[in-house]
Amino acid sequence: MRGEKICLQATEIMDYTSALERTGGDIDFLQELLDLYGKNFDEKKKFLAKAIQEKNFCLIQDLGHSLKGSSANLSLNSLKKASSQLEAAAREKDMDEVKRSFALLEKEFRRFQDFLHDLAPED
Amino acid sequence: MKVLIADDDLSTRKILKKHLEEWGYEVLVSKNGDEAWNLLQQDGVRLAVLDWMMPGIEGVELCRRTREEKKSRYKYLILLTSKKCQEEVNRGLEAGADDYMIKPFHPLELKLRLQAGRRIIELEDSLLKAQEKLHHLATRDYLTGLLNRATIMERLNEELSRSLRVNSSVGVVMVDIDFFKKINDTYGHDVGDAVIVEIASRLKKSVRTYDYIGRYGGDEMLIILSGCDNSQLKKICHRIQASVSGSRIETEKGLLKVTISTGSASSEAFPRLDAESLVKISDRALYVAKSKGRNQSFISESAPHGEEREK
Repeated sequence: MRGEKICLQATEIMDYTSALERTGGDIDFLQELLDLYGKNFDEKKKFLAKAIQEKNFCLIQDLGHSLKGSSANLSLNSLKKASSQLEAAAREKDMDEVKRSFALLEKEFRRFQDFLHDLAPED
Repeated sequence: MKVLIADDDLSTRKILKKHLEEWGYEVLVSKNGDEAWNLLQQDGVRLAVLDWMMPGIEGVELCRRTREEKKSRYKYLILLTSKKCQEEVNRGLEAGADDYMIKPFHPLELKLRLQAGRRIIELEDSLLKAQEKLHHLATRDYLTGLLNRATIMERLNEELSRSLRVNSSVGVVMVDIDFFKKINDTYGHDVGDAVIVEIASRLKKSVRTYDYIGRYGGDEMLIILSGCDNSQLKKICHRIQASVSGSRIETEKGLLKVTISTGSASSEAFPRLDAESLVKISDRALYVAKSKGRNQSFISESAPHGEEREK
């Protein structure tokens, strides 16, 4: 069972059990939301890269905040942490820290994708 | 009960919608603040779960605007946000949120907090209902449902003031059931009451929707006709009279032939008189109508102490 496998892996990447609880115990629904998160992340990443290039701290902060919220809802702990750091750095208008946080965010997203891959059912 | 979800994050909207529908709520969904504000204007929306940061109007501003709106019924607002520092919580609550939850939310906790909101809404509804009932009891005649004496006099004062402002005229008609004492003595008070109720109903149907009718006392009823001069007054009085004499009234003691007499006056003929004085003149006109043999209408046109001319 996918859920059981991942429950044992409640890691810094994702607390699967709590995310599953939040989605009413519906594994397929959770999977749909995770896929959606992935697509949404790609889109926001593009906006973030542009905002960083333009030094638009306000937009970086908003996007960081938005990612923080959606990561938190799916118990994506490390992505939530990285988004939160990005939001804080933008609030402080600290471009070096913004760039570091953005890199961390991208790294955590790749880890999340690997995690999702492991989550996929074995045929 | 309708609940509005406003959040720019699709996954949050989906999760919230799924839970809320499972808990029996009718869910409206909005992905930005402007749309949420429009939906909040709907009277049926009494509960809302609002994100703080959204495109357009922010959640905290939605709370502030909702509290400024005095017209609509109370709306219970929950801010659901990832803003978690104490200052932000305080700001959200200060803006008018009833509750504040930090993302990620726990479903059971949200369910219970929504239930708390629902209790507040239901409590407000029952209080408003009681208030409406009390208002009805305080302003209406228990038998006929018409305005009571105090209220119809209040309305007359208001209409007279308004007519002065807009330079129009107000007609006052005092209605009395002919030989009502005889009806009571012959058939009993229950039949007398049934006659009053039926006549009240016929009077309501004979006047315009924006006119007022009140039970002035016993078998006397007072009608206020807005924007009504003497020539209209004459027509309406005849219509009122015909509505009663036109067909017999069905009672437990059989069909009764009942008539009414009316005495009336208008502020056109008696400008700048107060409500009490105008009613007194109508009452005197009623006395003249009665003395003419009943089932009559009489409109007073001369000064209170002067000579009256029958119409």
